[in-house]
Amino acid sequence: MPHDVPMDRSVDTALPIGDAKTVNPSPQPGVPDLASAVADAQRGDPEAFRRLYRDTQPRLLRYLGALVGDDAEDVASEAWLQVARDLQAFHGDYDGFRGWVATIARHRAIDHLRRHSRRPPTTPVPVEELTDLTATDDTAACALDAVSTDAAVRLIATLPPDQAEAVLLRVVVGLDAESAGRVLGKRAGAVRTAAYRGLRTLAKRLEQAGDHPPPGRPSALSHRPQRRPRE
Amino acid sequence: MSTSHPRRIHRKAAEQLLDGSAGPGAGPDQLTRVLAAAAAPGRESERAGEQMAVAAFQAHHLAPVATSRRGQMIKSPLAKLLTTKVLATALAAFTTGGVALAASTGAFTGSGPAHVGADVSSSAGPVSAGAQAGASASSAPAVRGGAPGLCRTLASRVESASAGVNGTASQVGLEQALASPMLTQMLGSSVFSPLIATVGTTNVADYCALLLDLPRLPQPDGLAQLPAPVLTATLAQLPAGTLSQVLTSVPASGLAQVLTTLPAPGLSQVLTTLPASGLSQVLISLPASGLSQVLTTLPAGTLTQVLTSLPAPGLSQVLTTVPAPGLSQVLTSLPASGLSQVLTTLPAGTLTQVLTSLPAPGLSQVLTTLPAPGLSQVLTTLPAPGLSQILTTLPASGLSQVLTTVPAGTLTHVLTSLPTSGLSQVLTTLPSSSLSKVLTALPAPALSQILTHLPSSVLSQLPSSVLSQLPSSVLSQLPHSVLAQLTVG
Repeated sequence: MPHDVPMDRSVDTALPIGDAKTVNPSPQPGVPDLASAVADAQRGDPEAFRRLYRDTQPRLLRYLGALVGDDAEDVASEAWLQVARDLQAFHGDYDGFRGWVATIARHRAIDHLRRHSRRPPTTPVPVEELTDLTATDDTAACALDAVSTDAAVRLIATLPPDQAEAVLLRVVVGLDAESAGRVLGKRAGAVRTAAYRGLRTLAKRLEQAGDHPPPGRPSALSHRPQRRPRE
Repeated sequence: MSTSHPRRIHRKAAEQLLDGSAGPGAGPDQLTRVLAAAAAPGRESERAGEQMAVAAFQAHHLAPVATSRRGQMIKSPLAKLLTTKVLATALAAFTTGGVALAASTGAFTGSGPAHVGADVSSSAGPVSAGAQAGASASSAPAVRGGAPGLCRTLASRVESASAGVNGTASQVGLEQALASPMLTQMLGSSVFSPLIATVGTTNVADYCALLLDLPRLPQPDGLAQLPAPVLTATLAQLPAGTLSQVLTSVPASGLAQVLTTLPAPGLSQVLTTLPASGLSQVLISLPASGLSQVLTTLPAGTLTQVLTSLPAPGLSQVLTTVPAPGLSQVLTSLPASGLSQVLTTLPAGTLTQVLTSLPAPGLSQVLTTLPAPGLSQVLTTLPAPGLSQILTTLPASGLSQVLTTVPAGTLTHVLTSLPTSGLSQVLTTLPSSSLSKVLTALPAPALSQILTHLPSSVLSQLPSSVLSQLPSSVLSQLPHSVLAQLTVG
């Protein structure tokens, strides 16, 4: 019963709204100054656009994986076509850019789900991978490989949809609560609540997996509503 | 069920975990590691669509002014298609072969890069060599094979999945496959995401039809909406047959807009790529103003090439459609040999119409540019009334040069063909030195015929220096009044 984890309901209003610090949890080594890349790309510099893509696309793919599963790549491609087309109409810095791209990608994902009238094909979390991951010592944790990133993202994707999206937008896409709220069409406080709940659920599941690895857990995303929310 | 409870995560710690600023001990170690893994730096396998995205970006920024407002969404299928041809071209600069075109299945399928590579090489690889036969051979064929290769792979998968499609080795089979309802389903494979990324799912069939040079082409109504640089690059990429098919299926008004949008080098390339029949059809379908603008935009070399490659009926129609100022500019910009070839191709009626529509300076320049054989052929082709009109339009210098350039036979033909009024005007226009040269070049019978038809008033205007050089056989036939004048003089 992960939803019974006590949570301070006042969090919606108690936390400071001005959490404007936008985070970049995984700065790409060797990527020169993404701050200027948006403006440069808007002036038509393809290399600047390439830098934006290289930093944003992995975040986007991991986020979209929770929405459309194996079709993330296709949906991301559609999103980038729109980004390439509409970039000149965008106003903002690189932090805003990530939020904008995430919004576009989310819309394309919802269109995609509607078009295919089917649930996202999600893979149950392979628990062995998770136990391997959580059992990793500190040295190995510093060199987390591709498989563990996938496993981690898939684990987050098993959260209830609002929690999964909130956590991924904040942790992976690197948005603050306000920006994530704009992507989701929700208030920042609601995003915070969902993210906190998600973290608690994850912590609990990890602890359980460490104690008693359960069989494949049914995906939380299988309950995802088919209608495009808050459009 | 476990009885242990996760350590409480307080708001501050949660916020630090979420924004990646958590230090050791901020949250449960396992959770911290999971979040760190999820936010790990991107991998190359996650950036498989990089070249396609950059190519899309470049295509949209080829003409930022034109696309920023009205033209942001190019609506017609062909317009989209043609834009994608540009994408493919841009792509060719960056990618190597079909491998780079194919997307990896990414982080969520559990399939590693090795699996992706194998998938691509078995699907896109073998077909890339045969693709895009009509394209310019200037750059790496393997690169150009990428997208067509994917199209062929797509068609063959449709074929194996559907009973109604047989033999995608043939054009008919390919068309059947692209038209099959199974296509959308087959596109679900991430192998084809480059195609979808390039044109969108609904346009893949048309895009592949164009890439594979299949006869089935979409409606090209939107061609004229493309920004000039995109249009130019697009049309310049098409193989001759496709270009011809595309341009000849554009409605006249749109075609004029398309061709007049192109800058001179692009226009030159497009028109000189077209086979003669297509070129003829394209040019004669243009309205007069558009045709004029197109022809006057072309540099002399291309203009010559274009006009001289047209069959006679097409050339006739083209030249008689162009209004006088444009026609004059066109003809006077041609070099002598080209001009000669053009004018001597025309049938008499058209030649007359063309030359008589020219203003005097243009006409003079045209006729004096022609080398003697061409000029002779032109003058002897013209019927008498047209010849008269043309010669009497010429200023003295031009007339003089024309008549003293042609050999005696042509001169005789010309002067004896002229009606009296025209002949009178021609002879009285010529300066005396040229008149003398002309008349003395004529054989006696012709000269006699000419002079005896002239009224006394004209004869009396002929300078005595000219008359005195006439042979006595001719002089004896002249009226007494003229002879008297000569005697007095």
